[in-house]
Amino acid sequence: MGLAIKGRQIDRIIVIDDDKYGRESSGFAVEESPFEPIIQERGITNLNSFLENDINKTDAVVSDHHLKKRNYFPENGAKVVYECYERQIPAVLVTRFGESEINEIRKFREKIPVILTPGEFNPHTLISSLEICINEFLGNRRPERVAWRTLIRIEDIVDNNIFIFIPGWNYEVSISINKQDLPQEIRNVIKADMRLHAKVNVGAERSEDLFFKDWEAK
Amino acid sequence: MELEDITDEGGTITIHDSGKGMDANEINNGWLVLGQSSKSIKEITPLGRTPAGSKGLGRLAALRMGNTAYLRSVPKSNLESEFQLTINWPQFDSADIVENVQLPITHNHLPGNLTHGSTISIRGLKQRISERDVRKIARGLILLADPFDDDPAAFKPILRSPEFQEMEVLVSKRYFSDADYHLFASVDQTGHASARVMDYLGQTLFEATHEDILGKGNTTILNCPATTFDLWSFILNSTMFTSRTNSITEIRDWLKDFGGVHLYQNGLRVNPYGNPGNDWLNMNLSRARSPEERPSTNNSIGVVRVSDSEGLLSQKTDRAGFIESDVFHEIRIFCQAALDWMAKERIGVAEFKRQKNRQKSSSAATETRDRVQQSISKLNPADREEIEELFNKYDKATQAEVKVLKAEVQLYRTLSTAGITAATFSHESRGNPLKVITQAINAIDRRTKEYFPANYEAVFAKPIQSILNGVRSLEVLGTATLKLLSHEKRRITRVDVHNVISNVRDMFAPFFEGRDIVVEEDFAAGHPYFRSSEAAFESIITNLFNNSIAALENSTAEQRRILIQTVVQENIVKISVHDNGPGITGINVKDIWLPGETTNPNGTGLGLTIVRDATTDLGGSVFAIENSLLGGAEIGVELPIIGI
Repeated sequence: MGLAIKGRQIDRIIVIDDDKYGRESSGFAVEESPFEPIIQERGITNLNSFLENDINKTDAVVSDHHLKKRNYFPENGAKVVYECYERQIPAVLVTRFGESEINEIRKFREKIPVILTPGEFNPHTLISSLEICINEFLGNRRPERVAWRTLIRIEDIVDNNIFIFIPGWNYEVSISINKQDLPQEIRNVIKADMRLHAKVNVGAERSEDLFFKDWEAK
Repeated sequence: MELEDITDEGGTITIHDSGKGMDANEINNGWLVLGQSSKSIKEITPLGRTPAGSKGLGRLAALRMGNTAYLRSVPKSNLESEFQLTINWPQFDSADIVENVQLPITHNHLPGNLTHGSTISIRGLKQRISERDVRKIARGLILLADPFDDDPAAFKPILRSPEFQEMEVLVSKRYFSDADYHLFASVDQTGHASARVMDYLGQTLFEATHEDILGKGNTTILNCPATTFDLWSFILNSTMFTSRTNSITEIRDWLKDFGGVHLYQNGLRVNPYGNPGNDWLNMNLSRARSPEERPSTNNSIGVVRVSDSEGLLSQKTDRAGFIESDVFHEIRIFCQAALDWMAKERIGVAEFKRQKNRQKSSSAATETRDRVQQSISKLNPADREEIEELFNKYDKATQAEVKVLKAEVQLYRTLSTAGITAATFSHESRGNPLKVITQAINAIDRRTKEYFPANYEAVFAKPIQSILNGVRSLEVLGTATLKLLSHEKRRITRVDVHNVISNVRDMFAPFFEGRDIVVEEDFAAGHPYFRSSEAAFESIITNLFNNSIAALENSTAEQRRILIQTVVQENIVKISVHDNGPGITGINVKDIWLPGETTNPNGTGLGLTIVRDATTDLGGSVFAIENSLLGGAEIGVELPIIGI
């Protein structure tokens, strides 16, 4: 079977989840789609060799974000999807994430085109997600995924958390980002009440979908 | 000593002794004569005692306590003779001059060996003697002849009364071995002092020479008769007593009756030294001035023994102590100097210990405290006393506060462990089991639709929907638990009262739904706010909701209801949560705030305690009404706000 999306043939999809039943249940939707699920049962210790060798045998990836709880994967799913993006392999993150993981994912969010919750994940959304990925590889980002230079106000710095406002996105909602995710030169100068610029996908609806790049220190 | 019918006027006091007795001549020329005594303190008695007593004024006062005084004496020199005399006081009252009253001494010759000694009875007492007086007499008699010494030749005063027996048992207990410090100081016949302090095992801790005690360079000899001073000092601290055989209470009781520094002149106690309230060495004053390592009359017992064969110390006529002569003054100086020396040595040890502890854990608080104390000690004496007292009060209050906080930390540690565990479980269940159930049930849903399209609606749709609903509730509950732990909520920020209440209500929505509880809001106009962490305020609202949810489990109402109301009055927002449960029953309203107090067998009894503590932290107060608006309880808080 398989399916050609935007001129790209997708036949096999690798399913990555550190929980056996999680892999199995994610496989259900893939089974019902035109693709063949390849369930990654074996744990891997080296992400690079996995990306070089195993992934090339498949056409796309479906991964959970939480992979490190067991001795299964050395990195979490956000990083896996990011690396796939770098290699132009369509990858969909299927996960539920809480506040504690938002920043973990945000770090790679620019190159994570789609995040689906387990409830949203089905054969149709799988196909549309792969389409979104391939479109991005082709340079067609949806408006909510395009980053624009915008003003950022630092509201407060508490330990490792930086609370910011992005007036161009929503001037009422404070967003927390991790200090360590900022470039070194920004980390060095940052302080409360400071205003600076960065590129942000201000078209995103939800705060967890925002990503930041190209920070400018004054 | 015997007491008869003393509970009312007219009773009798009888005093027997086994002394050498008197014949008619001795009674006439000694006992009956005031202002002189046949006894000479310069002559030691055959038993090695120094005779006591001089003018007989005290005896006269005692004999006058009754209507008649009766004397019977058998002299040791003639054990077949008994002499008797009765003094009838009314005769003196009616006589013009005392010589007109005859005092005939009867002499009976009785064959056989009589026991020598004298008996004096004071009959027809003019005053009753209360139980308290008896206790005082018993104490006085017991202490009279130095019960702390083991001298076999010492007087053995006995009061035939139960109070006495009780006290005798008590005094014989001698808890000396429980004393943490035993000071033994002495002045020898040449006026030179020395001292040592021993621990409870009798091992010498510190030793002092004359100069150590009286000050370096001070070689002047003490102008007083040979004196010894024993002082047993107890550290009445319950932790110190856990390993001892005697309880701290026993020792406290013992010290209450016998504590203080007693003074014995030639083996007989001199009043009032060492009586309750008598602090002739100013121990309590010294302790108040510098409390560290100082004994007080409440935690020590002492004996000063003066061998005054020269009669250098004279008692006042009213027997209220010694005349304040130079000799007495010297004794007092010696005792106080010995106490000062001991305190100094003990402070030295305590300081050494402190330094060691400081090396172990350099506590900034302790150091600062010590520095304050040092600075205080440099002040001029007038200011120092007051500041020292204030600082000690402050220090005590702080210690008490620390104790309470430690207990609270313990409590909250338990709670946070429960919270962390709940969060971990929520996290875990959301990650895997919920994902599996969701994806599996969605697959079943899709597949039944595909493979059994005819039967889907009738057979599968409902159960599949039920599972999806269950999963949704579980997801929300897990999210709610984790939301409470959000670090952003611990930031101090502007907290919008209504927003937080609504958010918590939304978070609880599946919970309320699952329990058929209708939640109504009745908010004041505007958006009252204050500055705090959202987490603090959220914990108040969450626990109030939890409390109502638990109360509604026992509701018989057709519709279970919760009403959350806010009212703004000046700078205060009053937030109350009403429900139509059974109200506050089976527990005192004021007890609901106490940790562990709950009427819910599955509850922890900590929810409302957290409400109270969090409210206090926000500068507010809590209240509870047993039955209010909806019929059930109304529990709420009043918090100061910045604006609306």
